[in-house]
Amino acid sequence: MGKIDLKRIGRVMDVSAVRTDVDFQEINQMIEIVKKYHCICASPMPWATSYTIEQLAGMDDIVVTGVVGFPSGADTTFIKMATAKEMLSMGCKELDMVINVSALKAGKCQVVEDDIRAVVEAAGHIPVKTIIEICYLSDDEIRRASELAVKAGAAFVKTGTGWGPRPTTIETIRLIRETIGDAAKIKAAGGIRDLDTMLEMAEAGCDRFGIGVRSAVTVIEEAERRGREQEAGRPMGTGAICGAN
Amino acid sequence: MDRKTVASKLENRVFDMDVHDTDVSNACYEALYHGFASVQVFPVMVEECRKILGGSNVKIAVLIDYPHGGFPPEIKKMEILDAKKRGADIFNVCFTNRNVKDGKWDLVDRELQILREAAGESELRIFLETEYLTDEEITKLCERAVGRGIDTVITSTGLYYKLDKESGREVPVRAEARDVRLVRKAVGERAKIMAQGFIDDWDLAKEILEAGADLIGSVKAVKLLEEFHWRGDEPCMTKK
Repeated sequence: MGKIDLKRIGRVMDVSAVRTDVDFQEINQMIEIVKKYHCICASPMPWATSYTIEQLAGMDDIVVTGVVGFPSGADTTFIKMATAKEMLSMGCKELDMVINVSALKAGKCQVVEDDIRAVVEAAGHIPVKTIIEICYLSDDEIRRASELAVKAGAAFVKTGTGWGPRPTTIETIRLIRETIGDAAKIKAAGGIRDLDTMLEMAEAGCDRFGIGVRSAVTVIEEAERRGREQEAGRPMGTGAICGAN
Repeated sequence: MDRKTVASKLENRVFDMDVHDTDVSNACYEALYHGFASVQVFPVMVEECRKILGGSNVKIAVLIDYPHGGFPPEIKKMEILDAKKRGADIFNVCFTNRNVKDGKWDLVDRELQILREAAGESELRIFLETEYLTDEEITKLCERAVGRGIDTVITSTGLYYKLDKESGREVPVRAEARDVRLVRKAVGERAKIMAQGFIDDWDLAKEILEAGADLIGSVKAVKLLEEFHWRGDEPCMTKK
């Protein structure tokens, strides 16, 4: 996707609140942030999915995503399909599903592909982001998972749930982009907390960013500040952003 | 306690999602060989376990809505029915703790009832996640759970870490004897207690069993049994 429009950075950000200890306060913060900055997508814990959709009713440029098989990916295909349908019936306009990681590890590519395809078909015209959970995968497995996601009709290859032990790096984004070409979009998620990382990843071909509530505001405000400076013709600030290391 | 008794109190678990098929089948064969009570696996693994454990005394416990319990009870119900069809014997369900935290006891009761109905005659367990709840919340939830016929309460998923104030590092949340005693006080003899959470040496396991736990879930079940075998009830020589 190349360059990010700094003043509209919200349009590439999925703001998420999907940890176990998320409470209503954090869900409300997430909703406020996506409203205020017109972020493209809100990603709540499933117990708050309906609530988030209600709160964002009438905001036509914001969607709510439903999580499927999250975060283990170890649900059976039948349950993933059922969850997908449930999420759609609540009013989700995107889905974030986790692949069957252990099947991928075991080399059962057909199982992985069929699992994704079943959810893609259940989703109909709703885009599915397939989370391949790169923190558990070798480079070869990342390539294979990305290919299978594309083959099964996924709209996005997404790097992680944010629950895993290793953050997404720019090398991973390059690897996935190299593998899939333009066949699908890429969403980076897991350990992304500052603007410079996002800008670099965007250059490398990342289309969307999953980012937690705590980091979202810092990133957006930094982006807006740099956007204003660019307009005013001043040099762009670099270096780490305060509080977002 | 003899070796057989200790083994019968252990649930051999598969912990991570990046396991290979062989890790799952190994867990099953270990359980068969040592006489463990059960194995604890993810839904996608149940059928494979059934192939190995069918006809044996080793039960298959399946993780439902692991690890956060945040999906609606209707989806958990489907998960339970699906896993039952595939051959699961026991359901280890992550509970929607958010409702406990927010004091929404009507939703808590509703979920317990839906789970109980879905599990039917099978053993139904819920995870408390004791490190996340206050003592009062644990007690209240336990009382509700036994009131709705939950068979077993599990102290924790054993997934989480907490910040150690002394070292400033993230340390695993280990099961504690005090939690077991607290839960026992709440459930009395109306439910079994399973302790889980980085129980990786016999010293801790022994302490936990003595505090009143009926079962221990651990990825290190074999190690626990071996340590018991070599040391018995003697304290560990290398204990810090």
